[in-house]
Amino acid sequence: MLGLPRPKDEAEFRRWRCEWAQGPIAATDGPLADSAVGGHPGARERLDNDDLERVMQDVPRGAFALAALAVGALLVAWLLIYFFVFLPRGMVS
Amino acid sequence: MPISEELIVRSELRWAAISVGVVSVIMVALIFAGLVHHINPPSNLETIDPKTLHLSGEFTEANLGTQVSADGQVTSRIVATQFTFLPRCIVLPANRRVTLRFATPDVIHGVLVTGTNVNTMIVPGFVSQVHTVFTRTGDLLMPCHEYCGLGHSEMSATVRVVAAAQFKPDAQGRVACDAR
Repeated sequence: MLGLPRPKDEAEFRRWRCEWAQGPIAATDGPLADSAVGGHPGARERLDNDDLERVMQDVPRGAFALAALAVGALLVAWLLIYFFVFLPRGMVS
Repeated sequence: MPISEELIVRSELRWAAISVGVVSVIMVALIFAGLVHHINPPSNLETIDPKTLHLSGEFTEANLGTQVSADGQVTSRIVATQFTFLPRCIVLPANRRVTLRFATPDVIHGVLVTGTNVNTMIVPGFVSQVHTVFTRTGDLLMPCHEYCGLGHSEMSATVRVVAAAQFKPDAQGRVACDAR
């Protein structure tokens, strides 16, 4: 499939995944699906610890940027409606 | 710098501080509106018998519409019923404190006046009361905003806000839409 290298058997696939993920993987009950075994184009690529740390370090920064943008936009919209729509409409009680 | 538990905790604390700040800003704005601009949710726990609404009391036909009392208080009484308001047009003065009183003999209705903060539910058995000051003159639409049956979409009235010079009560203190 797509000319990508495929593991000979399930044991080799598990070894590749262990190397790729830099850690143990949980055992599965049944046989692995064919697409799961040979479908990942980067299955044989190895990530060392520095790469992983660099990727993980960027994750919270991006999440904070997204959350701050979303909450900031909501707060600005709320304040705009409050000052330019709600207050000029006058008192009610 | 590698990610660590300490870094995560510090980030979460920072985010918690931002969340508390946002809620604090909104709370201060609401308290400011309540205290300085006298903007509060209309609340009036006043009961009325919906079965005799049209027979006796302040919501009989002769009392409906706008009335100016001896002390100058402007009050408009409106009955919301499937599927109309009685009366369908009320006249109110601009830049003067007015009181709107609503009651219904049948089902739950809701009312708002477009372009203003007037917005309340009308529940059978209770009198809904709203105090407000209209700052703009003109005809404002007052639709029912709570689904009340098949004719709900046709249920609306007009609030005619006029300048003080045009607001002329008759001898009984009543002001109707056809007597501008």
